[in-house]
Amino acid sequence: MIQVNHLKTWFKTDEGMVKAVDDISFTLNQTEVLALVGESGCGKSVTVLTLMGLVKSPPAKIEGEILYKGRNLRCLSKEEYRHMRGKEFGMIFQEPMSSFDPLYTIGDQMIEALRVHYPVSESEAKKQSIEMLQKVGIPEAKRRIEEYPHQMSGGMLQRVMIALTLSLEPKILIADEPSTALDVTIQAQVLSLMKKLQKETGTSILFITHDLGVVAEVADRIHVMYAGWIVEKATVFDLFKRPLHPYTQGLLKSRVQREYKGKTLPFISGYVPRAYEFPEGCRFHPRCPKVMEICPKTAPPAFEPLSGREVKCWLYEKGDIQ
Amino acid sequence: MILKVEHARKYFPIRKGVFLQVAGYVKALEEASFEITEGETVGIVGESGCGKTTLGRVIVRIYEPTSGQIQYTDRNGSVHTIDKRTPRPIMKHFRRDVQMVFQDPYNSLDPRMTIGDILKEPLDVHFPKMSEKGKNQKVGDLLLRVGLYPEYMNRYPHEFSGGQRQRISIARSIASEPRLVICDEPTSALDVSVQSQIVNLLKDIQQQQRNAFLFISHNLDLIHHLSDRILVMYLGNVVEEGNATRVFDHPRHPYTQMLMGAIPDWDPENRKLREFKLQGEPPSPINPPKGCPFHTRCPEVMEICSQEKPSMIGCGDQHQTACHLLSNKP
Repeated sequence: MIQVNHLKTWFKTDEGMVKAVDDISFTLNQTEVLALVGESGCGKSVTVLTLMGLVKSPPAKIEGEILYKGRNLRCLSKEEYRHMRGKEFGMIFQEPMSSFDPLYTIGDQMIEALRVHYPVSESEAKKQSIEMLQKVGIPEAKRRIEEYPHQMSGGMLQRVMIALTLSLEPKILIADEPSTALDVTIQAQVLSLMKKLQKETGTSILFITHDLGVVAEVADRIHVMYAGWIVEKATVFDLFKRPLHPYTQGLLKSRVQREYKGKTLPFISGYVPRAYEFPEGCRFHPRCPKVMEICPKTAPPAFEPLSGREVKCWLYEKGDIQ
Repeated sequence: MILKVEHARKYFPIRKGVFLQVAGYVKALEEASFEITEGETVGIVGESGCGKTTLGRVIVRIYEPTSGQIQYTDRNGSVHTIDKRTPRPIMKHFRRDVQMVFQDPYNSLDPRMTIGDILKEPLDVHFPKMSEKGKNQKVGDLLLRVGLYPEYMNRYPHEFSGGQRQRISIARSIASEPRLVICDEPTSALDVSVQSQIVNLLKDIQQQQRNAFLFISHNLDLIHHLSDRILVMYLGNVVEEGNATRVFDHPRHPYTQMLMGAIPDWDPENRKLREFKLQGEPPSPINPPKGCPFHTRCPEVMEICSQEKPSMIGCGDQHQTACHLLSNKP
């Protein structure tokens, strides 16, 4: 569906060049859920913004290509990009409360979005919006469509955002931490709803999150990001069964598990580096428990120690492992 | 015993109109009673809006409770009621003994104070006789204790990452050598890889200082790991209370069961959210439902639930639940 090749997004700041996204490549296939996983500052959100054409360049320095339907999106004009957003790429944001305009009813906002992209009458758009709201489980959709965002709870509003995004029938759905601001019971509802709707419509989803528990529930494939790099690519089953990169291993171990009660929790030492002071060589080496001589000097390329796996770590230089 | 909370309740008035007349109440905390003894860790868990933060703030008296009582036992063993009329010297002991770590390490440290000043403030208040040199020495010790360097004393909060700031917050909270530290979501603003570091640090500190902890969190795994005893809250009420392992292994309240079912398992081969049954959202605390607060979402709701509010009933060793399902069984 979408192919990203050697994408770089750099920002010039007073502290130096911020290499927020530094040479990443990935492919999002038809009807799959691809998860970009990483902690704050790893570049996952900047990747999405670049994909959506929302990073202004200049001042930002963007390199590489984003191929969609045989075209490089980086060559699109502003106007063309605007037509892509919404209709081709739907987006669900983290904070439903701040993503809606507080001065318009949710109905106004849903109808507007529909009519920008499709030649439908207002009453037709309203009818479609109500149907969509019912589909995402908003009770009394007819009445609630006249409400303002502040009259709804966070979980409810996130459903409305999903309804709005999906009513435009996008080919690709980009979900940036869609359940992070929600409570666990509401998160469970929203995630199972997204999964259900994806099955029905066959949309591809690019799922951005820091929560590996959520990833295990919804994703087909996972790309783990750290400090602007994709450090590991794998299917969800492979990754949880056998994480290869020491960072992924650390992340998986840092879950607070029942068996640890009364014991010290395993942890990754140190802190996530700031974007303008990424270390030389492998960017994970100051925190890596398996650091070798080469790591601080040269950045590792992506190795393929197992078929279908890709990992950016010198440990796998020797090639295949059993 | 350090602290005993009896029927704590907190209503926030909603004011409307030109004369700001009270138009109703947000019933943030309806009913909570429990004790914390020396060296014990109590966890409070629940979703947003369940009143857990309000309860923490009522205990440290950031909020004045609408009704209910807090009893505090000082270091000599005498019991005092903490309210508006509590004499200042006793209040000062209370403040020294009960400290707090806040959720957001970015807003809870004064950006214009150096780390040294931040850590010295509690020392100035609670150990006025300590010499300047002694205080500096103590600040250095505190920084080392939380895994930072004494050289950081002259730096400002903005120079530190979220995890480091939370360490500074923790150092500040233990500076007065409190007997109880209340932690309101101490790790939820941090990255996953840093969370465990802070959790380990809190455990270490407890082993050295032998202080009690009150943990407030929505993260069930974390609460289980840290707590001896837990309280599950829903819509301002404590609905289940008991030994942490017991409540986790045998949750009795339907809400607790649902809450535990909603945590993803980190196992792609055993996806469970598809069967997730709990629908709807918690009702508004302005108009809480009559009877059991959970009855509007409960899968096992009965006729009595909408009429009568269940009280806490024992269901095994150190385990209590407020649910009509249990009261009907022999």
